[in-house]
Amino acid sequence: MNGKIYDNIVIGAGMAGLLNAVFSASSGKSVKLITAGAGSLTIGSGLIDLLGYSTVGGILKDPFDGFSTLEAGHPYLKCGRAAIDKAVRAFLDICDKRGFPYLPANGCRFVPTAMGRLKPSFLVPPSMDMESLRGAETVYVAGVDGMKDFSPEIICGAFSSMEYFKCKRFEPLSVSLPELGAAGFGSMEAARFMDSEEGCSAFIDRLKGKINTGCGMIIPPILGSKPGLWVYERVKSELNAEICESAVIPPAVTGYRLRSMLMGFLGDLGVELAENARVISAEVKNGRCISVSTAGPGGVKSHRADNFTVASGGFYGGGLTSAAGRVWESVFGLPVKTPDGWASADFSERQNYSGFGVSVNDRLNACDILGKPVYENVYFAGRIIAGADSPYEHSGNGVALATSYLAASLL
Amino acid sequence: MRDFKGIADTWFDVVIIGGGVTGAGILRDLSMRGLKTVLFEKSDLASGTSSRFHGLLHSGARYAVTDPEAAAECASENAVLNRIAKYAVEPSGGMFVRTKNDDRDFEERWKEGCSASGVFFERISAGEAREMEPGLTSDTESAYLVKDCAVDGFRLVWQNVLSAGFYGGDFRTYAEVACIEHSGGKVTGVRVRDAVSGEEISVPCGCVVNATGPWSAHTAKLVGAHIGIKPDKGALLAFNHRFCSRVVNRLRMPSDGDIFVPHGSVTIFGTTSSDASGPDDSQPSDAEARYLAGLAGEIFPEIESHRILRAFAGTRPLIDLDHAHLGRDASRNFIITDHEKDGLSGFITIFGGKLTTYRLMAEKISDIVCGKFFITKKCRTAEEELLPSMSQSLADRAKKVFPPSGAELIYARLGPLFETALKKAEADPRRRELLCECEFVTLAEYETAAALDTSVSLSDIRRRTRMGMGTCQGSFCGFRALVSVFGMGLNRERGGAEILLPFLNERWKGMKPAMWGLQMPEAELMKNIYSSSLNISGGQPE
Repeated sequence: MNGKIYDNIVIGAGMAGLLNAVFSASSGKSVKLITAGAGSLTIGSGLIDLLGYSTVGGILKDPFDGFSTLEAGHPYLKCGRAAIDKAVRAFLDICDKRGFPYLPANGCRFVPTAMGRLKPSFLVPPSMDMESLRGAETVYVAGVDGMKDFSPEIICGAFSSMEYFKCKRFEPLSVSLPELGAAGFGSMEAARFMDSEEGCSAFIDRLKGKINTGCGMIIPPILGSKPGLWVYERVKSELNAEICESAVIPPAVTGYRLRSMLMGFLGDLGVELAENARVISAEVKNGRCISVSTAGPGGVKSHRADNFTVASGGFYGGGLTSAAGRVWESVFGLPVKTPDGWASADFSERQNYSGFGVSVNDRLNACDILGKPVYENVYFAGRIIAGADSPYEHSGNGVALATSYLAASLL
Repeated sequence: MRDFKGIADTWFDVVIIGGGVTGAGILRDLSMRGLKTVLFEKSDLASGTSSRFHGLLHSGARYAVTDPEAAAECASENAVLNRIAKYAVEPSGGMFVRTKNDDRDFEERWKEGCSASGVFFERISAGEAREMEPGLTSDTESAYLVKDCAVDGFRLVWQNVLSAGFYGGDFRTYAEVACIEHSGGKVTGVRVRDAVSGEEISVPCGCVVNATGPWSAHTAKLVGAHIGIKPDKGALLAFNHRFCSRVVNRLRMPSDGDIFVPHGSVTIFGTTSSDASGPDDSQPSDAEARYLAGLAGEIFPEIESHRILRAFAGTRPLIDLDHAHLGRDASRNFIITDHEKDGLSGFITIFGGKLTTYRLMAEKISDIVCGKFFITKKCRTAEEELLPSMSQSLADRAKKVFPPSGAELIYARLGPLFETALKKAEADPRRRELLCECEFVTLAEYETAAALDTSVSLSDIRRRTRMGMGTCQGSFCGFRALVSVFGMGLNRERGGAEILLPFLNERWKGMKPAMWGLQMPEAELMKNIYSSSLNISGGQPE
């Protein structure tokens, strides 16, 4: 099997890697996905932010309004608007096809967070869209007794003082699910419980009578652990209320749902998986990559392909490695430009390291200073590409979507 | 304590300014001798120099050549603190190591100095040294065992203050002394501002002790007095690993980056010595962090593969009597100035010194203060433990709700409040859950610390419990801490983000200068969680 030459070997199972594998396999390519870990979708909320904040300040009504302020070299400018539109449509098609529809693109959509903030996002599942609560005068913020890392009081306190919500009343509420134990469980355990008929009815029964019909509810992400909307739809209709799940600290159930959906699709598409395999070296010849080697439980293995897509993430994902004063790309050892001052001492400010990554041309090949590709059959996608400060501009997963789509279309 | 109204216009014999280890030691000493004493600290206890150092309880060996008097004092005080402060001192032992790149002649002078000052040392072979500390450089040529220990500055200060409390010693935090009042050449009292509410109270007193370390020149200026002090910045690195089991010193003329101190599960490495822009100058530069990391590799070559948790700095109150001395050449010894010579009776400044000799410094100044009140009682601070051993009945109860090693740790951190946490854990099994997994802080302990009126910010609770000081640097326990204080109904007048952001910022400030290698993924994760997922700094849509 190691002798097989794939059309595309994808390195990394975060948003960019999974999407690139899905997009390229959907168009008939033979694809192998190499992954060292679970991928960072389990850390994030599974939302696709495109551009939430303009680099000159302020929340954007429509992400595309902010494109004119992007700095030269931003990955979106390499992709171009047309490719981004196509990527968005392709993603929504997949979601529909797999029975886990996200809401159509329609400017920035806001998602409540456990911090009591609104997070501007772009592609959002219906269960996380704050807009659904627009008509509700009373919004209950409901937590589960004993659940870790969620406090209705934090959200109520913050939202009650927001001018944006001046016509709403926020009320904290607590639901008791002793089936989960007295304490020590998180939203993932609660979501798994809600997958069951027993769990779902328990949640609904214990809320009935506590809330008014027609009210809104903000809850932790517990409406089932699986990709799909049936738990959401059922709870919503039986309680006769609008419901919105919030973004929380990891592990993120909502990111896990999207990951499960994409992994399921990859299986159906016949994409081969090499899991727990870390790429340790690459064989290159005449400006092309011939194969990569991985180390894993089964020992060192070689994988050959005509094309490679590197979606190995940033520092957290392992795509970038650093030492004092120096950063490099982890698979090919490509040098990464690092201006002085990697980080700001102010946590909220822009962080230079967020934009560190591989410089690519508009075909997403790593390129030298003149724009000449280093390896013409190696494409880069997602956070590994230089030039986006996603925590600051709120472009997380948006860059992954756009570049993974473009990279797949270039094969 | 934070109740200001309760002490407004109340007479105290002595007011101490400064809640570092010196002030805390004086509070304990004077209270034990029967003087009615209160301490005012402008922010939190142990938030300045007393926690911004390597946490080394000196054996004296480091000063054997440069400052024999300090060496002798360190040697005897080290023994005292091992006796009275077992819940703040980790008797790890220490080692001096000379590499082939260090001056051989210095080794001879050092041995002579140790002998002359009564500092214990014992020669071991380079092979034995590397067996005891496997990470040591193969360039090691000679090695000696000494009696260095690790000391927890936070605990030491709190334990002194709490011990003083048994004798009536009082204190207020976030209490800024705005003015020292005097009339006819005699101190009559102070005006104290509550730094949280901004309200001011008057506290009449007979004597004011200025124990504000690197801030003492600022404090003396309140009465127009001059203090010859030069704040000197020392930068340090905290590694996320205990890569030596005892304190390791480089045997050479004291210089930058020659002390490694293992604490719990981390190692502190330092220091540097450079002019500080002021006493609040506690941010190391990126260049300083890189410089230090390079020096660490000279003794422990594998250190590059270890994660640096943070870089931090403290300012030392070095004596600069004639402005001729600089940096390390300035004496580490202390000076007591009675401002009666400047025409103001009842105002005394103590400055200089080092943490290891804080008790001795407190004793000397307390002798002078007691003399003014005609009190002849002798100092007893070297005889009585700061925190008595945990009783058997408490230990038996604790065993049932906390893991055995956890109980001692919680007792060391909470002291007399241990039973409060224990009762919480006994009453509600949910309170036995860990809030901070890295530093083993249960909800019961956290809530006990959070409920104190001295816990104005999450960072104050961190200093009490060490929550957020381990591997995750608050990425996970930070939010959990916020949920906990909200659950207790505390601080709700402020928004969640307003409470958590200063804490994260303070963690980030330390991570920032040493953000490379294994630290980088953790930093990126922390930023992504709070900025991307939770949008902590985000405003509201229009």
